[in-house]
Amino acid sequence: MIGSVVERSTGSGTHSAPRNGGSGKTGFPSVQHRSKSAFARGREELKRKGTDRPTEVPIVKPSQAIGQGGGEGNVTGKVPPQPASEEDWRRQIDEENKKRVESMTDEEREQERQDILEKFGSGVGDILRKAREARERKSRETEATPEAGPSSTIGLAPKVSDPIAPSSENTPEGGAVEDSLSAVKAALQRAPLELRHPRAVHSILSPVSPSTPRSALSRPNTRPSSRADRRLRFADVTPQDVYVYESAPPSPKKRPLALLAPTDADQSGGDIVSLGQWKPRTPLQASTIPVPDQEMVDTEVDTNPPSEDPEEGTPEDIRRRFFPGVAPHDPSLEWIESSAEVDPASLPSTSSNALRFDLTGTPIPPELSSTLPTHLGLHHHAEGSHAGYTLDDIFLLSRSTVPAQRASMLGLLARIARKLGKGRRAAHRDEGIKELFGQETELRKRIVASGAEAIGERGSVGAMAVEIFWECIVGWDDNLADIEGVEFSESLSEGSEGPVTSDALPSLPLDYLLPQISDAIGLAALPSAFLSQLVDILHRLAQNSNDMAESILGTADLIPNIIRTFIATPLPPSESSPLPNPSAIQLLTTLALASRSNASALLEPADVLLRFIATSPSSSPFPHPLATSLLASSLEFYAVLASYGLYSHIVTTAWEPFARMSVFIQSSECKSSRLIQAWASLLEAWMVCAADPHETTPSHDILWSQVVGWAWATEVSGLQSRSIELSVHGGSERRNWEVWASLWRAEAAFLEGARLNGVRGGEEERLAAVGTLKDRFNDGFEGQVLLGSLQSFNTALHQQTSYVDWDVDIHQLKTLASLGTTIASALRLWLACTPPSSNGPLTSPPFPLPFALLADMSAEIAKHPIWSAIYGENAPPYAHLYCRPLATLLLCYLRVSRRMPATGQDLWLAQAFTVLQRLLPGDEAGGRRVLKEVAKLITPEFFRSRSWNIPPVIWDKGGMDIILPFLLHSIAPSEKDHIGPFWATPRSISQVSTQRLPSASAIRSRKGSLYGLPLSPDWCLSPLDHLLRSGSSPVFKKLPSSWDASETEVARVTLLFTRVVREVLIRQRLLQFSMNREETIFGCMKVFMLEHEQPQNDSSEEVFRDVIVTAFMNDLLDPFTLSASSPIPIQSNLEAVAVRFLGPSTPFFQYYTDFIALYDSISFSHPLFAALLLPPLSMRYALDYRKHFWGDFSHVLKTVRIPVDRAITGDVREYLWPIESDSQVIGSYLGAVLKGSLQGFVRWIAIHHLACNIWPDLRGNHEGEERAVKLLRAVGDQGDIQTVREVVFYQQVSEGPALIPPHCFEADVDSRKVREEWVGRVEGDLAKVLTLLRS
Amino acid sequence: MNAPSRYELFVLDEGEKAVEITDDTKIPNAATVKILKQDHTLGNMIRAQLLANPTVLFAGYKVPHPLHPYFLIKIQTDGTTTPTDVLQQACTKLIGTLSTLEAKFKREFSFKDAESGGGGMGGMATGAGMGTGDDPYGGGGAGGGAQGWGGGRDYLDF
Repeated sequence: MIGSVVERSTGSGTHSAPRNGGSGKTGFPSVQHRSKSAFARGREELKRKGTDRPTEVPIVKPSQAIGQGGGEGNVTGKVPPQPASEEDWRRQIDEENKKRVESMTDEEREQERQDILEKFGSGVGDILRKAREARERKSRETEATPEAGPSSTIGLAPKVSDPIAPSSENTPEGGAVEDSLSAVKAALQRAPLELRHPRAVHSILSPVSPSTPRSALSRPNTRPSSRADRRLRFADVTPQDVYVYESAPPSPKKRPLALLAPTDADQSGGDIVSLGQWKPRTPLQASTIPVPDQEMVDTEVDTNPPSEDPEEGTPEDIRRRFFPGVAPHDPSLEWIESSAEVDPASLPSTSSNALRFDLTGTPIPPELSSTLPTHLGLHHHAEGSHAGYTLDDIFLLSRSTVPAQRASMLGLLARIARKLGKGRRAAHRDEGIKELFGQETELRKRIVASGAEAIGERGSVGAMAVEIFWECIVGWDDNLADIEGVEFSESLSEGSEGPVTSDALPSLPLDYLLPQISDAIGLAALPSAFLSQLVDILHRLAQNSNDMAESILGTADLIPNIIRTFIATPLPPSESSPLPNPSAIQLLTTLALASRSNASALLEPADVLLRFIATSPSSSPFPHPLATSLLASSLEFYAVLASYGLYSHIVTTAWEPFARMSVFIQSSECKSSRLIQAWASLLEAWMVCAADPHETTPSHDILWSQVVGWAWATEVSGLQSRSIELSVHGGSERRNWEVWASLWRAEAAFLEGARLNGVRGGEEERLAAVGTLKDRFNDGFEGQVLLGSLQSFNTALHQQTSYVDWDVDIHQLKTLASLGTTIASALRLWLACTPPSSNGPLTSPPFPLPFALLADMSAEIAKHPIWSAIYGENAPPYAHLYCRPLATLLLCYLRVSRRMPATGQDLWLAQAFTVLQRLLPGDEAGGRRVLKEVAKLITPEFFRSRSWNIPPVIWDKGGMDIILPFLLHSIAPSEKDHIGPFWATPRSISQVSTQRLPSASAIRSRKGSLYGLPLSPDWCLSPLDHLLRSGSSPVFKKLPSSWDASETEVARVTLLFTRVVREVLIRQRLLQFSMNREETIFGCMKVFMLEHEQPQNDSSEEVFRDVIVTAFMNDLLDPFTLSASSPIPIQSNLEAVAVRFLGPSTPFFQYYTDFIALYDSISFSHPLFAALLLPPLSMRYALDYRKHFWGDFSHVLKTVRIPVDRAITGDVREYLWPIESDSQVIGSYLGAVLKGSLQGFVRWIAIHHLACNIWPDLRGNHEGEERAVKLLRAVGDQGDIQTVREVVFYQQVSEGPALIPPHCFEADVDSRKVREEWVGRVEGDLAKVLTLLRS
Repeated sequence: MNAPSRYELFVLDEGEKAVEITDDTKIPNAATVKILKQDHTLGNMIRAQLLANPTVLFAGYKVPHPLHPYFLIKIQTDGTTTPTDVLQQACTKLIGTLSTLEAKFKREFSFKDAESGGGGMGGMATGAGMGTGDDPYGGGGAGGGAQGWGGGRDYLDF
């Protein structure tokens, strides 16, 4: 809104007369609205100014002046024709003219006179004289002021207003004109205020104008006159005329305020530097601008009577000025108030819509946003009165067609994204935008989307889009940049219940983005900082998921462009050429980790990296740190390729540069432990490749003879001595230990390779190694390294963490992972030194290790809560990556433990069953090996030595061999997708399809059940799953032809194995690894469900009727029945357990209905079958189970004759409380009880819920009175005496252990009294009940 | 197209026996009875009747396949009687119950006839008028209705 423009009235002050500045403050003509035609405007002007002219007419009269001062007419001609101060100027002009005439010579005067006479004719002198007389007369009449001198020459004044038309036109006018004019003049002088405003002039004068002597003037509206009015005049602008007004929010006028003043506390802190006192720059105080006249100020004050006039621009001002006739607050004038009256406090300040950002992405407090001045550039949006941009404004403007605007808004979005990303993490919460907590992920998606739209643009818009991507993708979670070997993408939960994926990355239009990025990199269209941001972005995308990595690789020209721009830079580098970027090599590594196909596609560009190997960092043209980093990155990249068995021929092809590099690394010039580690890991990878030449791709890429020929063993020991030197010189302890881990692994790889390829199983090499290792680990440096890492590991392991704040916990996990790797590497070296011939315990260890410490530690690792925490909902998707070293450590320890004489069979089995449940995807090979060894141990001798009585029929078809294929399959269900193990093995390099773990959420949801690991506690029952799905089971399709076990036999061995697992675990007090109640129940249900939809008619064919199967199932379930000595608390939920087998689309209820139907048709009231019907009827589960069982299948109730103590439950109260409230189920209880066919547990449950719904002392509340009476009457009328007695005398306690029959049928005296009283009160014939109660 | 002929659902094939009883080899006093060309209607009734017998420990039936017109009923007794006997008893009782039911139904219906007297007769006549022709659904609507009304007029004339 613009404040009303005040036109300076042309003659507002006497002082302004000489300057002629009448047309406006600035000297420019005042603005006129052009909606009217020029003609119409002219008319209006005339109408307005018509009054001016007559005022001047009388001045023409004095004719005597002609002779003297006529010549000066032109000089004064520009005097504004305002009559208000006529007398003043006339006097002034008189004086001037007088002076002038006096100063003239006689010739000049004569000349002037002649001129005038020539122009106006000879009569002009008379006319002027008359005019003068008239004037003098008039002034005598009206004011009696002294008249100016007779020599006044103002007679020529009319020319001022009408220089074109001859003034003679006016001359005939006489006294009549004069009179009327004086009247007008008087009127004008009476109302000087109004005259200042043109409109006011109009409005006031118009009633007068009819009486003005217009007719006497006889001025037709002809052109000349109108032209005269519209004459353009330019003011002589002096500095005093220029007023600079502060640009400020026009209405309401507020003082600008940029920031809150610092508090005293801030100032005392001393880190705030004052830039001086801020002075408001109002026009009056601006020192550089000329101060306007004091008179000017005065007139302004004059025009605005201070007491009444409201501030200019306010609605009240508008009303008074433009709608004086309308009462204040008239509804029809509401519109003038509405916009100005927006109260900032009334806006919903909490909602994100009200949230406004300044250009740095900082939210502006609502109370400030309405006061900030406009010149900060925060008002370029639709809602004009508030400073700052809402998110919607920003998103709108980020689609602007003006590139500069778009770029700045994208930049603003990037800054907001940075704040959001930071605030998401608890540690930086205060740096975030607290108004937007909880909306980060959604906003991130939107911001990324707006960046995606702009990524194709050139120039700053494109650069800002890159910035946005960087902030949203890389900067969002900058912890992720270094994490390799795991996918981050969250798998979409199949059910609708899970939270919608919080990840913005899957929604990116990669098909569109990647070519754009490729172009940008290829053309180097952006500054190099942005280009390396693009590399970071690609790296983060490649990290996110294997699919994304593949699509990056599949984008045409992207990889060549990256290599050309970032790797194959000009050599030697000139000053202007860019340097190679190690993060580009890192990107290639990540891409290669993602999948085997990626790695194969990257073989071609792998040659380029040789340039960094060919020149050692000391002689490299690049700066030394950069060259080292490039070299290390290249070696790491080659190691990744080698983990697929790829590209190992390069060491043969380019042996010379590698040898030179190796010399450099072993020399004292190399101080980078990273380089040593990278080279050692690469040696390890190549030795693994060389161990079996048929496993590399292509085969015979590298041969063991070459490894021996190049003396890599000495190479490794050279690195070791170099590493000792480096360690002595300092550096981070942990870092040094990691280097040692890689060196030990390289040595182990050599020994493992020698075992396969060396003479007599590599005995010579082993003996040589053991000889030195004994000393090194006894009292050498390496023994210290191992002990140190063991101690630190123990400390880290015992840190108390709750796994709620993962920002902190992840550091503990990282420490554990790094130290665990070191320890596991030592164990691997130890194992590589053991003789291959036997598999059993060794007589003496090859070199000493702190075995006791290792045993305690691995037990603690296995029991550590971290294993369940990493799959928690709020755990980061990569947490399990750090558990890989721990799982590998456990596997190694298991192998070590097997070779130790002190380990008993039971102990080892318990360790094996524990470790099996701790394995992660990628450990399949290790898991399979463990399982095979376990199967070998479970033999008839195993049971005989423990005097377990196992029927010999079990071993008829091969014992454990029957179920081993199923168990192995449960560990590694997928044939094609192999995740690379933590350490490559000769077998793995040909099989692996990816080196990266799936993300934690993918494992949690078991998407596509690609991953068998980690195993669930009921893994040992998995053969039953395959029996139940024998039609579709992949195991059955590839079973050997010799496998001919029947369902019953498989079930027997499975149940036996399950029993063994449980017994072993319980004996070693590892209860948390054994199956819980619900898993056992569900497993036994599966045995019964084997008969579902089976055609046989005779019970002898049914698996569950098998004596052995029944006995094993009873054994399994016994600890979970009510009669068991030590009740196990309720831990799990059948429905949750069943999902693992049934999948998310089949509810457990459906399974249960099938189970009941099966019971109904074939069970012959099998007691175990009947017992398994009951668990879902507890009050923990949904009402539907009880309705189904008690209502729909009430006829089977008669056959469920489970004694109370055989019920499968940890706590019988789960069946009793809360009291059943559904009337349909209560009706079913009543019906079943009255029929008299219920026995045992089900009868107790029914009586309990009936009695609890009847008796007020059990009900607890006073509702359901009516139902209670009805129930009691029904029981009393129809029940037999036994039933009535039980119901009447039923008692139960809700606290403490439940009373079980028969104790619950002996109500005490107090409750009998209460009940008797209640029965007496209620209506109805309850004599039978009363008699009983009184007995 | 390859739907089995409908009569196959209730007509015994050549040489088929309506009932086969197999004693269970494993469980004492148990038998599986196969009843051909019958479905849930009979199976459910017999099962319910059997369960009402206190000597029956278990009685359950299943229809193994909805397209195969037979069901299996499994019976186990407490040993005082054989499954065959309880099944016979149950069937006898069921027949008795059903005959009683039929008799009761007919009697009630005749009571109804007697109570409503001529009106009932008239109603019957109307019904007969409605039910002309072989069409089980009352024929072509309008025609049947007209006839029905025609019958009504007959009654009034009467």
